[in-house]
Amino acid sequence: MKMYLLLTALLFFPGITRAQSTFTVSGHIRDAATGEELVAASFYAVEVKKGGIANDYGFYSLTIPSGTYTMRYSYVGYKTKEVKLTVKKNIKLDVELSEETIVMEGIVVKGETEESTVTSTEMGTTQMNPKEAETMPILFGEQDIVKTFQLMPGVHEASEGNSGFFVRGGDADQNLVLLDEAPVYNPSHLMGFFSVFNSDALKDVKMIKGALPAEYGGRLSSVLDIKMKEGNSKNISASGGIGLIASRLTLEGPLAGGKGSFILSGRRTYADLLWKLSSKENLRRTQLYFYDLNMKANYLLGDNDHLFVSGYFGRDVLSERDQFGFNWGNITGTVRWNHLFNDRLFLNSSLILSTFDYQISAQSSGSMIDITSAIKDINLKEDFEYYIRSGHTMKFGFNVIRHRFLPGEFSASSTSEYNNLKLEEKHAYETAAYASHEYDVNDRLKVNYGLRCSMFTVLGPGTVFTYDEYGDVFDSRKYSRGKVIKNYWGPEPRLAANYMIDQSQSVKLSYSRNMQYIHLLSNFTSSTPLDIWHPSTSIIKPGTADQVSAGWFRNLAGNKYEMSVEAYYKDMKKLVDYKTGAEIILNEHVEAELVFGKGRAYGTEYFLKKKTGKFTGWLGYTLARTERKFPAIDNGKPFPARHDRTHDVAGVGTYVLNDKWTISASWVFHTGDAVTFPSGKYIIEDNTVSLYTERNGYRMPTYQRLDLGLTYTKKKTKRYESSWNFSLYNAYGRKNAFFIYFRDNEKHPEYTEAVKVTLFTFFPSVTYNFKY
Amino acid sequence: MKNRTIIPMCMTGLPKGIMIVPVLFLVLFACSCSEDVIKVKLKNTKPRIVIEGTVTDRDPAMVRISKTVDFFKPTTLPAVSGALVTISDSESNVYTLKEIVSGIYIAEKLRGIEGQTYTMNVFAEGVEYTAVSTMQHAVVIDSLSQDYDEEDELEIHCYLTDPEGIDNFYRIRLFRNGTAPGGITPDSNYWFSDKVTDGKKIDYYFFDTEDFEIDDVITVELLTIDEGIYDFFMTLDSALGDNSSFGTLPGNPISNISNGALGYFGAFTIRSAELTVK
Repeated sequence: MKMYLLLTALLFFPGITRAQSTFTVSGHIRDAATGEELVAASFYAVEVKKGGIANDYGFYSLTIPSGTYTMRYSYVGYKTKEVKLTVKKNIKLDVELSEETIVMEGIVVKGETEESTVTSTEMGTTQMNPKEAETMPILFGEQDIVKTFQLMPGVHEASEGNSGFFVRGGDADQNLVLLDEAPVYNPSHLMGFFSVFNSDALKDVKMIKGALPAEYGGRLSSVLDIKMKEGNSKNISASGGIGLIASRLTLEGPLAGGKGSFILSGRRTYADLLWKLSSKENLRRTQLYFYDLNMKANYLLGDNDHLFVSGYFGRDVLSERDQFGFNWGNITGTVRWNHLFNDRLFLNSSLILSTFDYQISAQSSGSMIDITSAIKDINLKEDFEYYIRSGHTMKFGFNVIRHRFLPGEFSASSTSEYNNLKLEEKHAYETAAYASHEYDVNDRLKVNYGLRCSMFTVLGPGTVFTYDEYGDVFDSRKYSRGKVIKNYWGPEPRLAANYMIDQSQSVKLSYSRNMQYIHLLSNFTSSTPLDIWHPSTSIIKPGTADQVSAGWFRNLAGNKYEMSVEAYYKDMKKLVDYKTGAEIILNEHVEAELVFGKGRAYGTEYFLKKKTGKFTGWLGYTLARTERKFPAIDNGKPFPARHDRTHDVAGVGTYVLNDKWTISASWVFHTGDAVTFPSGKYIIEDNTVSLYTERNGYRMPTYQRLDLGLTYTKKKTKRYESSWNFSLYNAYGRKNAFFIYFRDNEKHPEYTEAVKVTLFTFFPSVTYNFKY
Repeated sequence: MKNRTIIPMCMTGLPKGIMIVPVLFLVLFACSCSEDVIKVKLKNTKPRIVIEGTVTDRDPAMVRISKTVDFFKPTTLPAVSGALVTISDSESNVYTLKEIVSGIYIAEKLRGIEGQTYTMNVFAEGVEYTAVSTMQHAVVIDSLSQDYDEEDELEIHCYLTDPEGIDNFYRIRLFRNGTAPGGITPDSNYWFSDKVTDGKKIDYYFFDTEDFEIDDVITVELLTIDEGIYDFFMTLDSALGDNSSFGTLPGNPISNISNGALGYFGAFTIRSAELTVK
């Protein structure tokens, strides 16, 4: 009830004073060549200095007094467009911007936007068009947008070459990864070496590592919001590429005479196809591949209604003929309906499906056995955007997710040797309602405040166990279908403010509280597909994170450069860790294997980016600390999280030589991750056993790497374009430690030695890309 | 590199026969992997007491007491001599163990009896350590047999019948002409529970048999252990050194001995069977 009151109050408070003489200019901003809506393109009425950015569907709305205006529309990499308007009534104006590809005297001019990171209230937010990363050096010849984001301050890769990531000291499961609004539970392929996102099918990628706007929730640390392309609504086109290990093909085109469009994009690796030619028997019998399929279609139902259907299907397969099989993957599906009630009230309704599952099968003396686990979600979202008047925008809505957890099942084809085992399914509803108001207090101060209220309800049927201090079952209680087993809820306030010091610089401040009700259980130190998601229970409490951050943002040399300094402090509670040797798989008492504690992370991030010109790129530096404190680990002494890195530097540069050649480089340098090494040893049954004295008390060696890239664009005509990308990973052959292990010396077994395993030194790759 | 198991299936507590996990994940990348012995600076540690105590129904009861050393010192552990070591059973019979070699204590006459609970008391350097273990009922090996798989590789099968309705924990180990080929590693030595095989006929097979030759005498021992010993050995995996920064989180194994001693005390039955490779 409280929530409704609040919503109503928020709704009416800013809206009531709409003057008679104001009118609304609204419409969509699109790409002239493909008809794709441009996410976050900016619009600006020059005379009154009012503007904003278009929403996720390219929709904009600006309410201004009657008069004559110059409307300026812009988007990074596109030509700015100015339209003279006499506003005497409400105007609907769709605008098309064309990509800035014309090379003038050898200089690529990229468009600049009026609305930049300096003027918005967003902090710790990076938005990127996958095109920007096209010419960067890449590993295995596979462009991977997640790896580009790992080069931003505050974001770390999980391990070398890995697409998993940690944001501002958060754990891996604290990142909400969305593909067209659908959560992707395991966003990586091949043990993490690739992300599941095929750049060919992506339009826009945004990462928020600071205060989350109220419309996002459910994770403690960050959101990686990925949007798929809508497909070219003007012409049929095909594009694709052949890389070192994978090939890609994308088809897109108009539907129903331009009232809609579609895109179909696929990718598959083919290393295993080459192995078939190998002389090694065990390689020939082995299959190891993954594929992705992205599909999307949209259709304009009328002036005010737009329907989108999108889906993703991807799978990894690893098998040895007849003996062993292991496959895993995500499936997501989203149906969205945009509805414009009027030129100022926009509604998007989404129905979303999302699943992740894995299956292991093995031959065992005549019987086939299977181990499976999955999480399946159905999700309904209603998101309203209300452009009340210039300087006032409200967002509000709600979200209901039905989670179904299938923690594990063991089944055998023959029951003579095995009993089947099925862990209880778990059911839960995660609901949230939110409202936020972005408000220009005056010419200098802009605030965005909001509240999200979230609730998590675990429902029967189910058995709830309680455990004693040794982890043995103490008591159990059965709940019948539909009975509430446990209910949690909490308010999540969000606040962001921007104060403009002058036209080109601002200071920002933000605070957010996030709650997380589902937890990823995995006690591996590297990413594996054996992910088990677990709901909050009476034992596993929901995690909370409070983050405050402050920053200084500045544009230099007429918006050619942008720089920022941000400081953050994040306090996390009810984090999950594991008892030694915790059994996670097929364990109905997995909760007894967990320990709980808290963490904190703080640091400063420095960022300098050159946005336009022949040379573009950025340099980032992070000075940070991430700690955990668990009463059950090291007697409650704080210890650094594994991904604690004191210093982290990353630089990326791209230089356009001429219309054929582009060179690029990226360089990273960071403190080694914290790691647990043994300090002593002893013997059990003649084997050397390590004695550990503290968690993460040691450091991996300092890491550094330079990657180089060279792109050759062969022909650039209206109809056909092709390019070659050559990359050299780890160009100066630095032997970075992928991991370190210890063993008895072969010649003198009474001595132990440390061994460093290096993954890639000088790893070249080549990719051919084409576009019709 | 090739042999590193990324998914230690033993974590699931399943018999290994069903868990052939060929390590393929890194095959693709193996070509560009390299290994170098490096110098790592490790901290000094305070020596801690290590106790390894066993009561079996076959061999004399034995307790070995030693101390830990710094990681890069030679692996010759200082023995703890002059300790007072006793083992008592459920019927309050107390056996005092005699130190026959420095740090090794034996009760020549003590043989375990199924169903009895044994308590070990060690008084060493002013501290008392205790541990309890119950000897489970023996499970016999029904038979051993040999077989060749599709690739003509030798497999040694061990058949046993799990008693229904009881939580059983096993240790199984293989000896080739009297020696264990893989030491404590899973190649010839394994721990499992009857989590998915309760009451079933279990076919446990060893397939790491590359070196085996005709006329080799293969001995398979089946030990029924209690949960405390099982937990110790299952978690020992996290401390066997070679996965300290890759694999599962490293940590010290769960000891069933009080007062912070490392190691374990276990009472178990041993049944064995023999086969000559043909």
